[in-house]
Amino acid sequence: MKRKSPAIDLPPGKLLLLLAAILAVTLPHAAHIPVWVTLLLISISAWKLLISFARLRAPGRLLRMLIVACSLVGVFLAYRTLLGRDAGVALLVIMTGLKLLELDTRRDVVVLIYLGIFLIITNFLYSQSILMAAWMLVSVWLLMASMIALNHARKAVTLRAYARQSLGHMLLALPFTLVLFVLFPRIEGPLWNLPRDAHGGISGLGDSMAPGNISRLARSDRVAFRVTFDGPPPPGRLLYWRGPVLDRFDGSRWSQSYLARTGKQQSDYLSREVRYSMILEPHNRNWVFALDMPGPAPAGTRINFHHQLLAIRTIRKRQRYHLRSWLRYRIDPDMHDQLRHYFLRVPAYRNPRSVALALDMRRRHADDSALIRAWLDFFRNRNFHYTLSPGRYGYDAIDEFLFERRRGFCEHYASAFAFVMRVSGIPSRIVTGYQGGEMNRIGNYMIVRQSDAHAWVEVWLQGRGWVRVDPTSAVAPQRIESGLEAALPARELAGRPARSRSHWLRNLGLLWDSINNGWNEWVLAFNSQTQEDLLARLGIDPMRDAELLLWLTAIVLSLLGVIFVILHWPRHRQGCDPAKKLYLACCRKLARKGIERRPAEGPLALCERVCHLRPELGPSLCAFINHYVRLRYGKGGQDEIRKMKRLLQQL
Amino acid sequence: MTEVIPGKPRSLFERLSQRRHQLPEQGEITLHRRRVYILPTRYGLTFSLLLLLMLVGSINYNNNLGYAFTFLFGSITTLSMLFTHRNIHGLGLRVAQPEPVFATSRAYIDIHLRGNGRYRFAIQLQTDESGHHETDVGKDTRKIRLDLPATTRGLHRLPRIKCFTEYPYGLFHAWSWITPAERLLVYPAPELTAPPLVSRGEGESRSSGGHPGGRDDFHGLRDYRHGDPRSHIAWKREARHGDLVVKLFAGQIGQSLIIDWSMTEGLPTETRLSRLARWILDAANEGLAYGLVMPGKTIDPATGEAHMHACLKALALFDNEDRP
Repeated sequence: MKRKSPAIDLPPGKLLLLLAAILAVTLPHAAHIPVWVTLLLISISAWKLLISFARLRAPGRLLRMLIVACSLVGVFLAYRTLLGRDAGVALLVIMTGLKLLELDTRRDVVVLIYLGIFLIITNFLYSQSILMAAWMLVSVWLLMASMIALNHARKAVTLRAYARQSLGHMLLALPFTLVLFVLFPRIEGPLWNLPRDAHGGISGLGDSMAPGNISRLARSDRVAFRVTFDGPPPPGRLLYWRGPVLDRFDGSRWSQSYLARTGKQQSDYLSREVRYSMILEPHNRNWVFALDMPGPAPAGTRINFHHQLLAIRTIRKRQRYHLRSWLRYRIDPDMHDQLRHYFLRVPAYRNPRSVALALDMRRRHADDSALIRAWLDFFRNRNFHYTLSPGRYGYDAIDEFLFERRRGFCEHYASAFAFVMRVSGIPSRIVTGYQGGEMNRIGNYMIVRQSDAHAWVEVWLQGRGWVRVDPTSAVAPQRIESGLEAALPARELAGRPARSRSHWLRNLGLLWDSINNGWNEWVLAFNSQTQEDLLARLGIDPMRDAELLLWLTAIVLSLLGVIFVILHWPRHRQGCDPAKKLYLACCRKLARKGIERRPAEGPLALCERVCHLRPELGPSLCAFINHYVRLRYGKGGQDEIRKMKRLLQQL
Repeated sequence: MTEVIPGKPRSLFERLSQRRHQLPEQGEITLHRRRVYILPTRYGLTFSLLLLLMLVGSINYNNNLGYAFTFLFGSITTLSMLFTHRNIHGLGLRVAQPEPVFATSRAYIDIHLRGNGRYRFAIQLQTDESGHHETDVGKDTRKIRLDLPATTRGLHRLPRIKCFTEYPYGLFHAWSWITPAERLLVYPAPELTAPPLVSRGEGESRSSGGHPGGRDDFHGLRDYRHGDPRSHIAWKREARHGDLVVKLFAGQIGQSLIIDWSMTEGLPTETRLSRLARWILDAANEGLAYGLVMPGKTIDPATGEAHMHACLKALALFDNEDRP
């Protein structure tokens, strides 16, 4: 038998609090749910207010069912499914909104609040930023306050009292939360397959490169990864973060061949290693952008044929890697002829003018190094433009680029250069990744953003192996030395979310980023591995789960004990009344002057006696006592208390 | 006789908790640690399921903020157990001696609550027979009035009173049972259709029925009620107007009236008591001096409120001295 929940009629104040809590929780979802869902929620809230304040008739069951049916259809049309993360969240928001219309019993309100609490968690599937966490803390506060309001039938107490209490409860809960967060045994998910859209909306460099890909990416200011160097960071011109290597060319698009899946070739390292740790933002691929040239692969990663570092699993959450790289290196000095020919392949009958020019240049420069220099001079001297918006290129993109438009971003230069190298008989491939990075002096780490995305070329020279050549450096040397902003005219930067021009705004931005970095490092990147390290440092053997649980229980219980003692500490409430406090202070003052209050003496009698004994005290004491009597037995406000304080000082 | 209000326990836990406080207590009761019980409510259990769901979601998506907020809610929930307990712990209650009432009416129990140095929100009191009442207890004492049906006459124990709270989050239910030592006196319900009290004076009181003696002054007329003696009916008026009225006679001032158990010979005991109660009330209403003669108990004629209550109490306790 289900017990009937008692009917409830929320007074306006409590209803407003509840509405505010629900809207606060759903607000961040507005960014990605269909607009009509947001509008539906807002109009239902307004409707509920009208029902409550203007005593409008509440909608009947039939109408509510109709709205549910329409919403289901709407969600299905929007997402083509009712399952998965996005559609699920949209449905949850709609259900929450509709629940607002049937707040008839106590149980309805409780269900609504529980829905709100669950919505808090769903928000973190989309963003785990500091701002989101702060906003959700506010939402928790509002939800807890409305929960208190629900459990208090009296209408007279102000909402402030509920807000104060729930805030106090949250503050008390904070140490527990911290302990649980650190010590609760972490299980690496997922426990079951996540819906396909679980990681939607995150992107970065792809596995192929067509003209326009990288320049599009460069318009985004999003952080790709952050790096902390052990020791001084290498100079900017050496910061090539190696991403996907592309070795197949179809005339306009470069892509990865099967070689990317094969193992590593030989490498010699010629300089001292650079050690650094990298926190990589999720990008739905498994690229790890190590500095050219990565050394041994750390746990969870491998190195492929192209010396690209790859994570074993797709990077769907922020990851931290401890990496080693060598800035001077020699890779694959010996190459099989077959392989060499593979790196010379170009599509036939495409870009004929470029082919002709390349063959002509080859005839004039027999030496490979001289030929490369000549081509770099070609880019430097023939009035080429480095620009973010080169326009669209057609079928023979390289011909068009070299002979007609001469406007391009790094991918155009790299693509053209690698092409002419192959035509000239020098094996070449494109390397995509990032170049440069901004040093954050506040947090002493380097930020690499999507706008640092770059493409360059590697050519294979007999005896030297693969050598990096960056044709962009010939056209726009500033790009390599000091980043994109220096290389582009201000006009082109206007559209980008400008990394501020003014000095202090920029510093503020860096400060914010270093806070974010700490957040990422300490809160978001905390996982079973970090937990183990931390526990090992505390001397707890994390391998033994029983021990961990024992510690967790012990700490939580002792914290509970402390709070129990604090809560039940006897508090002396006497003298809480400010008027009485002042009166007692006055009595003490009189006692020092030699007039003790007798046990059964009331204030008026005392006053009379003092007037008799010490007439000089009379006037101010009488006024004081009058105020006191009025406050205690009649009406009086803060004003009276202030006057009493003044009179007490005069005594 | 059974209790007026049997304290029907709600669950096994409450039954266990009740057992320890069977002995009635007098005066102010302070709800100390050992008599306050606490268990999660239905909503509390549902909430823990919700928390579990949130935890599984966080594990599945490897979502650290999900973990953090799940733990935050979990911590608040755990702490709310302390908050709820603290809200009721140390509360002072005093059950006032209830006023006697007539059977079939409602009895009122006044309970004075004292915060003992702490503001207490949403303290609720209930017995199984009364609805629950909620109040905040601040610095001053606060009075809550519970009402319960008084069904049978006699001196009854008060029902166990449950004092509980679910503040602040409704996730935990903290309660304590109070068994007041105060007794509730329930008089027999006065009979509604009792014949008027006809016999007065010691002489006639013995001969039940009596007659409208010439010594009595005619007092007035009133409508016939079922059971009025035929000899009192004003037949002449009936013949003239067709309505049935009876003549009333007032006794002389100072002369006392004896209401005697034997005047109601032949009726069941409870009906007899009801009729006597009616007569006592009628007599008191009319300001007569009256006495009561019951088997084994005689109350001399007198007037006044206290006398009336003494007489009614004698009826209430007739043959029914509550077990000590």
